Amino acid sequence: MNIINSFDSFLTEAQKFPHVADWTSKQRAKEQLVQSGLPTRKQESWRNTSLKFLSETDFKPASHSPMQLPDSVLSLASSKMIDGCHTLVFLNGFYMPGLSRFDVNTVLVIENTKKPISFQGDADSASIHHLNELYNLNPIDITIKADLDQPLQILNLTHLMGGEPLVISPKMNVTVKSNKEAKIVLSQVGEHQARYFTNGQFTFAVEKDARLELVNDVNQSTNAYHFDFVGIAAEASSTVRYFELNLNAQLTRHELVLELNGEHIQSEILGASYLKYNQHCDSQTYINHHKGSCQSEQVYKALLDDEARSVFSGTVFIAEGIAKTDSAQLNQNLLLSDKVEVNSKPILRIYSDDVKASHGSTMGKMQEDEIFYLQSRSISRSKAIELLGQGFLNEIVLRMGSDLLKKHFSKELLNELGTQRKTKLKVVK
Amino acid sequence: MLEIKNLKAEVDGKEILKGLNLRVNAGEVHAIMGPNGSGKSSLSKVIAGHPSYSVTGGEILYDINFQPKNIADMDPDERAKEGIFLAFQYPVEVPGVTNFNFLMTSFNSILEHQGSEPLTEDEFRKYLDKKMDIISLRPDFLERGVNSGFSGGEKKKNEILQMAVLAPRLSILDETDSGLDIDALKVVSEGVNKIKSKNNAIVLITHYQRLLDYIKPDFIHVLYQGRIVKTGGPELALELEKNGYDGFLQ
Repeated sequence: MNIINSFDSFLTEAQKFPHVADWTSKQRAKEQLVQSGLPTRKQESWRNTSLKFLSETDFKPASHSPMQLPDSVLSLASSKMIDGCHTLVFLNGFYMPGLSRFDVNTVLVIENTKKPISFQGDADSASIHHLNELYNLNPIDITIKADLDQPLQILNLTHLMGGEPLVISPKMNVTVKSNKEAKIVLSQVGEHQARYFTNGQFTFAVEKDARLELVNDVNQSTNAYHFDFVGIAAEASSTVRYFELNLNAQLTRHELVLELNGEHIQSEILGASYLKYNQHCDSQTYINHHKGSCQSEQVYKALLDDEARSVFSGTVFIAEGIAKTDSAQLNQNLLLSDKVEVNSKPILRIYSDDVKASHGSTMGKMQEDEIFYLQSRSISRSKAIELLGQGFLNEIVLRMGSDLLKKHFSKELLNELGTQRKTKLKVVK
Repeated sequence: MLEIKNLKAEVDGKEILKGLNLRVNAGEVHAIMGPNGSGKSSLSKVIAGHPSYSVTGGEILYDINFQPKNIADMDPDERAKEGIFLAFQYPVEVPGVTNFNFLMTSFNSILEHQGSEPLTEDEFRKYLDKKMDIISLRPDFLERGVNSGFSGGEKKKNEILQMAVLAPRLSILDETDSGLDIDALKVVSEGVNKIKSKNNAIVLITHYQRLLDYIKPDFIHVLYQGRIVKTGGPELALELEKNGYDGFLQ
């Protein structure tokens, strides 16, 4: 329970900045945490994911960054910026206005917000949310006031600057105003090979007739532990498209909650994961249809190699007495090794009759006929597997609405597959 | 260019090719005909190196650096790099990999094998533009997934485009005419005729005489029960069309 006990020393240090946080809610969060403890594998939604790492490493809460940033931080920031995007930079959970570049006429940023938004997520994960409450010191409120001509990249950087392992607790709320459109990339990246734990809370309010396309790109250090909660509250006639990309982190846990609060909402919840070594990625989704005539489509794909593990649990809730709901869910897993593990679980809670709700899950190896086809075109077996793997995941990327992001993430995917698979290529026979 | 001697091959323990002989020289067009299950598609896959087939006897001699070499143990991509091309009867769909990326990766693999520098995206686009004239495909074709959502005709046209781009020495077209309407058959055949030269050879595998009205063969072989039982000129196809395989083989 080191991570909870760190709070007392953190309190002494952080109270030097008393204006930045709601200390009453932090004390309350600590009491709840002490009372409930962290989730264990006895709890249903944590059955396949262990929090043992929290007791094995002493993660210290991140505090404000020095005024003068080391060059290594600056070069990491510039290497992770996507050309052609507006960028808001956060370092270890703290907003860095000096590194950010965006148009103030379209994006409004307010620090230290206390705006409450409630979501019906996973009750077993409440203590993870309390942990974020405990240690976030720089909650941010972002408003998209006008259509964004370019995507907005929210760059969440982690850098230890030579120090101890950190727990990073970003917290932000984004509002896309009525009838406005925004493409947003949450880039979750960090210092090469550094050990840290990021536990972010990202909430989005998508107002009536607004359109949000959100890419949650997790490409952390291979020694990092990455948790995030993404809550999206969508109002009538809005469009929500969510892309979750998992390329790197030792352990990843996503909790996505989409509240469909009005009628005629179109939503797509898509995921693409490339998991290797002994990486573990757990995606929990909760799609809550509260009003009728809404559409939700989920497609989660994972490409697994070595001894990687993937968990997908997709809950679809359809409220009583609502009509014309159309919900589809698909989880597809492509296995490159016989030592990988996949846990896939659809949970459909349907309380209405006028409903279309489908779900499916597949697991399989790469087809020899597909590999042969590419080989017969002069492509080596290893490159063929790389291309087929990229193709499998790239189907998700190619659904992005922005050509710039499509190109950027297709390339990122291929690079990741190319560099990781160079020395160890095999197919399950 | 290709000399197959007493080739025996099996799949899943079942012998499919039972002592097959075939000789193909540069500049020639050969047609291999035969009833269902005679081993025509298997022959094409064995030449291209499909891993499900094992060669249990004989040789597949193919000229590499002007010397005949038994290629039976070579990987499929190594054979392709030496200029062997198989146009598939059922081309595989690879959604998520664009045709452009696929063609460029494929073409550059050959260049690298030949010790040349791979082409950049811009250079390859210029090269491809010329080849695109050989066969008509939708304008958005290059940015779409390989064969993904393509009609049967488009898939076959894509095979011919790949053949044009990779410029193989030996092309084996496995039932390229199947599933094509008359117009598409004409487009595909014209494409093949444009690629045909005195330096390359083409082996057509087909059930029907129809394809041979458009691509004129020099030799026709009848494959039956894993062996070539008869070889002749173009007139042999007409005879087969008239009497059927049953009549011919009795």
